[in-house]
Amino acid sequence: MSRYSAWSVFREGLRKGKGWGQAWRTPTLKKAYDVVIIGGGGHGLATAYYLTKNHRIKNVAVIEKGWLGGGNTGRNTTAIRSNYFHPESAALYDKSVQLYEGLSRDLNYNVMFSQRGMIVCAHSVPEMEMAARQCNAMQINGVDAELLDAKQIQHLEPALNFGASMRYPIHGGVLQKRAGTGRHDAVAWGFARAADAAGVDIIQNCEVTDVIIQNGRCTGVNTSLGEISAGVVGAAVAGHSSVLADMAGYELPITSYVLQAFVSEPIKPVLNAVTLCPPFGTYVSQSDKGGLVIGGGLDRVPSYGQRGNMPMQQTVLSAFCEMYPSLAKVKLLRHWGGIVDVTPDSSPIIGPSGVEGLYLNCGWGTGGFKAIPVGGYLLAHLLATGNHHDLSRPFGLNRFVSGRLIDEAASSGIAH
Amino acid sequence: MSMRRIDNFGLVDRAKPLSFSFDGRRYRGFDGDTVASALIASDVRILGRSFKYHRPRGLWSAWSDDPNAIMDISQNGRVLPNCQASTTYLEDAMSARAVNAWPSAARDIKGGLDLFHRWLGAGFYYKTFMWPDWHLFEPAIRKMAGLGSVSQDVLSDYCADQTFDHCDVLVVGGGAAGLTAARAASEDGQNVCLVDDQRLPGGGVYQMQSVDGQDPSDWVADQCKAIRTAGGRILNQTTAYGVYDHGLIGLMQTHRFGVAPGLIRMRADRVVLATGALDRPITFPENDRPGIMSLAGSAELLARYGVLVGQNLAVVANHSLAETSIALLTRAGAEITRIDPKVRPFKAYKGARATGLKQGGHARLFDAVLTSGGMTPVIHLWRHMGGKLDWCETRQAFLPAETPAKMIAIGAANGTFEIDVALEEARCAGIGHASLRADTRYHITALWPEPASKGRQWIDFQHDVTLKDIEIAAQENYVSVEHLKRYTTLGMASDQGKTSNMAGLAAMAALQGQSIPEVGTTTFRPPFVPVPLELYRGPHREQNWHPLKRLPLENTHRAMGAALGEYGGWLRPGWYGDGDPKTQIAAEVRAARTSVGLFDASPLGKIDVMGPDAADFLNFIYYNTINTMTVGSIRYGFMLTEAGVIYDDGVVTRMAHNHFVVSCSSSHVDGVRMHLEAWRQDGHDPDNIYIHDTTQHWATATITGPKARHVLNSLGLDIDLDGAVFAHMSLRETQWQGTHVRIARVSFSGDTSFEVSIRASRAASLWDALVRAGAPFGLCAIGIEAMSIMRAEKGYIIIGKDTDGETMPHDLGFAGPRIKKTSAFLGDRSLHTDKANDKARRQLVGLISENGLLPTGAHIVHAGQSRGYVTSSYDSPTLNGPIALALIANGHARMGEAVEIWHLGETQTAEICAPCFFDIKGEQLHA
Amino acid sequence: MRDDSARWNAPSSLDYASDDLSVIEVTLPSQIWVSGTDVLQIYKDKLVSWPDIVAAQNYALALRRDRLLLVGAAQPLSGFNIQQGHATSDVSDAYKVIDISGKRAFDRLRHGAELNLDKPSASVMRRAFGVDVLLYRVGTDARFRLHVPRALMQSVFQQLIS
Repeated sequence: MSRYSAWSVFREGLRKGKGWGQAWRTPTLKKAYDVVIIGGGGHGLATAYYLTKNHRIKNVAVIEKGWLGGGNTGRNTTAIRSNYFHPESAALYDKSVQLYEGLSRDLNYNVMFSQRGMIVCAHSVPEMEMAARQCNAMQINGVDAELLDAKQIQHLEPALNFGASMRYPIHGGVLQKRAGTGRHDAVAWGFARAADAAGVDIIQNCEVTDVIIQNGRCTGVNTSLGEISAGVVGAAVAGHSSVLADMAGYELPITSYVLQAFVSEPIKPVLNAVTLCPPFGTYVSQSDKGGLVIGGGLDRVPSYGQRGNMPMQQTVLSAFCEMYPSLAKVKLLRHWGGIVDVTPDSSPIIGPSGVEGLYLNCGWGTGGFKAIPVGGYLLAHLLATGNHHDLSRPFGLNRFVSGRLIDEAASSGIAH
Repeated sequence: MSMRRIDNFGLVDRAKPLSFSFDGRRYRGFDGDTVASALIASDVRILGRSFKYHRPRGLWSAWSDDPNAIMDISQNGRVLPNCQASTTYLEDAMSARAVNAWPSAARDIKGGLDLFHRWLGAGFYYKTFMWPDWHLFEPAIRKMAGLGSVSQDVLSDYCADQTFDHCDVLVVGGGAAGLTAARAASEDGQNVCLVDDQRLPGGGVYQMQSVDGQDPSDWVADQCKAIRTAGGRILNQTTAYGVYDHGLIGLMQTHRFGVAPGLIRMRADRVVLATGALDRPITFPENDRPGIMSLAGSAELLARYGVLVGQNLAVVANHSLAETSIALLTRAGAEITRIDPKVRPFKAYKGARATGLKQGGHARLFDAVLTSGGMTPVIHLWRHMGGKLDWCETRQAFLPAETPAKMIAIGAANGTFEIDVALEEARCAGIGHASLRADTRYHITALWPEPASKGRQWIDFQHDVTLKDIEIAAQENYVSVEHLKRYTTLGMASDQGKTSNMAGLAAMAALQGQSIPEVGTTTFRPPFVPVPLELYRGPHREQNWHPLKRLPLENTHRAMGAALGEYGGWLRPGWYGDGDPKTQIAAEVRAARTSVGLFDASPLGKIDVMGPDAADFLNFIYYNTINTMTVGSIRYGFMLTEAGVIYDDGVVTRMAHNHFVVSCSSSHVDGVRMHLEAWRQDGHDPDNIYIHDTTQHWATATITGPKARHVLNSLGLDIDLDGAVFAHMSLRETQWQGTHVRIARVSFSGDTSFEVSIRASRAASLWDALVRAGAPFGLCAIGIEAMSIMRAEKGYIIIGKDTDGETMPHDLGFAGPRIKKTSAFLGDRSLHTDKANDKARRQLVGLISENGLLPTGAHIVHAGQSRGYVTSSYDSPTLNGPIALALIANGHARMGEAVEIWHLGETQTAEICAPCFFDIKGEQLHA
Repeated sequence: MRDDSARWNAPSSLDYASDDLSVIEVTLPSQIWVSGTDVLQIYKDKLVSWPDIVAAQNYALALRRDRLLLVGAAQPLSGFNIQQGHATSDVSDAYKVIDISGKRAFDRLRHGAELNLDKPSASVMRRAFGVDVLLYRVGTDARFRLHVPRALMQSVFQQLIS
């Protein structure tokens, strides 16, 4: 792997880029691997990377049915944050933020983690009380948080609506300064490049058609390119987790929905932080390129269609205009939909699948992007050791039996 | 007035001159011009700058496929960002500024960036700016990025008109094919709507000498007339920008500058796609120079606006349709030099006021170089609809493949480039027949980017993606078409790749040794053209963004000086009077505690559950036992989720053997109704249970306090209100002044209370009567803030405030049914899990503090960990001191314990107590 | 605690008249929900669906397969009639009712709802202006009657006349 640096960019500029090598190879699929990871999105690629880095396991294949990073990794609103209420969630997501903080240098790939801060607004006295509860929880959990009043928020985000007719007047909010956004594709590509450099085979355009189970143990997968046997198998297929579960013969408490996102044409900087107004269910940030990146709630009907529909577009975009009325004249450039895998408590599932030798990383719902590094880190741990890392233990599938749900939405008012 | 304007060409109204400015200089144009056509007519060559290298950009095309001329435009104090000059109709006194260029597009100070292009190629930013930290570089990069600037003005009347519509046949595109299809369909008796995105329909017909033997303008007028006569509609300046599920098509209707466009949600039984085709660029060195533009675009400028881009023109084209354009330009007096692009080396260069071409050692200057690399059918909506594409080798283009249900592509959009064939195809499509694609007379020499050739060759003009960038992407193995797009940003500019996608695909195909269809296309995402976010907003704003529910008594409360606020989706009195709210609220509490308070409780749910299975059904829905209730009795209970968590609390009344009224919390009525309906239809016999949410039929006045019975007595009702007869938690029905009323003896305040419910239209009379009756007793109207304090004094919870997403009934001290209830109920299983049995569950307790009011939202901490939090905290007017409710781990067993309270970094102590501070024995409640 | 009285327009009269649009509030003698498996059958002579035009004072609006709204009927007590198997609730004040007429009437309604007079529907329930309403015609083919949940009528009315 040729190392990226200011110097290498300068050198290659002089010689017209002739020296840039492949970011990743197009390897030939082998018959057997120590570990096979299904899903070449952020989580799958990160898993491969951390297997090589933390566990020295390099005989690994990542199987992707389309192009790597082509699922939710490449279809989200790129927010990265750890403003969670429960200690279990805080520990999980803050580990992810910490991994993101060093990720560009770690991967030698600029993932542009921009810690622009995230504001969750509160729009009434009761919401301010909930904001205080949230802010205190974060502080106690060791996550940075500040409680802001309306003036402080206006100072940070002057384009927000402080007008007399605003539907939900802003009272204050919680700021997490270390939160921000990243360049989503770069996260997938950076992990892919680093994993590939360490010897991982990334197989694109290869669809898993069946999971091979012998004597109750998962021993490999059948794919459109042939059979692969594996020491252990990890599945990180987000919205298609239930489809995979069906193949392997286990059940997941997951429902798949469409989540839409929107981006405007590029404009000169008008927004600073990532801002969420909970009663509108809408949040926004501005990308480095200048586009307003807008996200909202789920399309209500369960679906696998990677496109959205007009009613939810109207809900989200009219909310955006109400939040930022001066930006109503900006034009929408693109909108798209991703398939999100939602669990009953909206927290992820990381752990054994119930089929021996097959481990899961799924159920991230609408919040998988921010958790890519930690999701990979923990699945790698499971695949390498067969045991939970302390951070992932609370998120096992068994919590739906024990009742130990980790329901953020219910206690903090913040959707994932 | 203009050197480029040709007499007898174009459709602009030369009797209506308009004046405008661009980058600070004044120009003139005519009514009917676009900003772009007027600038070209005024011989302005540089209309913008590219995104990355700030290269000068001329106009590429005459309509929505132009990626170059993007402007911030203002008029009458309204500034709109990122307007496409080629689609913005000129109006008087417009002032336009090229985006991303300063002080002007012609003299942009960042133009020098281009010198560094060799270091700024595809994806360079992924490879650097990592040390010491991205944050060091990011602010400067952000400033450089972005196109236009958005003014902070809020345009208060910028409001999209939104409507629903439907038709039998929607024809998209008003060119020759579209008009013909629309005419055929409407004359066939179908309800037709034709949409065209320009002011005048006709598409490219004005470039032709005649259509069907007629002058193009006359022909268009005849078709329009025929369509209208047959009952069809024609919507001009209307763009079909996206197709959604079940054949819903988004139409954007644009108006004058500064006026928000309208949204028509069109439902069509059938869509005829007549969107034409776009001329695509030819990839050669320096092909981005101003003065190089699309041949079709230049013909359109002449045909529609009477603007000839120059006298001395080079034409570089590879297909047979170019001849029509050349003929037109020649008629207008242009001298055409044909250049064969196959003869290489071949490159453009910069001349002082002209564009140079070098070929085979010869260099020549031209006023403009018109290129045409072939026609690309506009099939965006086809793809939105899920239609497939086939690669046509003859036409070197993707064409609509088998027809998806309900959509037919015709004319150039279908690869039918010959007018006579297209018209026949359109007539068939109009009456619902798809025709087989005919052999075409169109011929084209494949001409695609040639990797490894010399020079800087632009693929995406706005985003500065060159052939070299694609080569680098391929070299680095970003070969999937989506990787290519995302890595190089190819096709992600504001034209969404209308000019660049095909060349980019072809370049990648060549690099990979594949055919173009093997590489495939990226997804076509709506909208077809950028649409203002306002389009989606319209009336969904301010008070109509999730409108609040209004009380029948709202105007009565207003007259009484109520401070109204949003409480659980209703606009309700928070308190009365305009003094200091805290003082007012405390006074209301004291009055209600010492004499009597009157409270509007109308939003409380009143959901009838009826039928033979009603009792068993509610017994299943509720945590508490319901089926043993006697008629006329009322029971407090919880509804749980399947996770055993409290979803709602409230009272249920047994009106009759098979009739119950569920009185859920005010903010939960819609949710509870749906919850009940869902369970009615799932697991129960829906024919034996009926659910009627009658909440809005009723108004409810709550009379609470020691004098409540006295006030009610003076209404002259024929019921015995004596506490021994009419006990707490029971119901009476009677008449008041001839109107049926329900009187429930329940209490949220903790005092003796009666909830009197009457039909909404009689609410004001009842309220006035109670106010009059209460006057001698010192009756005081109380708002929800006072009620919230009183219920906290009593230790009554508010769901979602004093409970969270984990709270189960036994956490609140309601453990009975969990242990004793034998029949099945919702959530039962979850009440017996490990977690439900955990000792450390957070339980509802009271807190007392000697240090004043505890902040709501403060946490109880121990050893650096949260053990719970303060859920409600008030200065109690009744107790003359602070009270608080909290959820605390294992709280029930910790009465009297001191705990540490954390709030925003500061700590204090408080003591755990029972969650009841008032009338602990319940004497007042039951009095 | 925030006094938002001024943020919200006080409810106004539901009468409006201009050259091409007229809205008047209608007070119906009674509105009663009746549910039961056979109610559509039992009341089939009085049943109104889309796009019917009502002429009578006393009619039954088809809502769903097991529910209708009786308009103008004598008011029975709410409850369940075990012989008929019908559940009844008086909702006379649950809906505010307006009649909309004039040249712009249908156009204004189509600003809030997807309506097609050529496509019959078995139910008069509609989602209009973001609210679940009942919509049908009375007297003439251009006079529309709208039942709106009382608490949301202000919002619907304001959107309708804007």
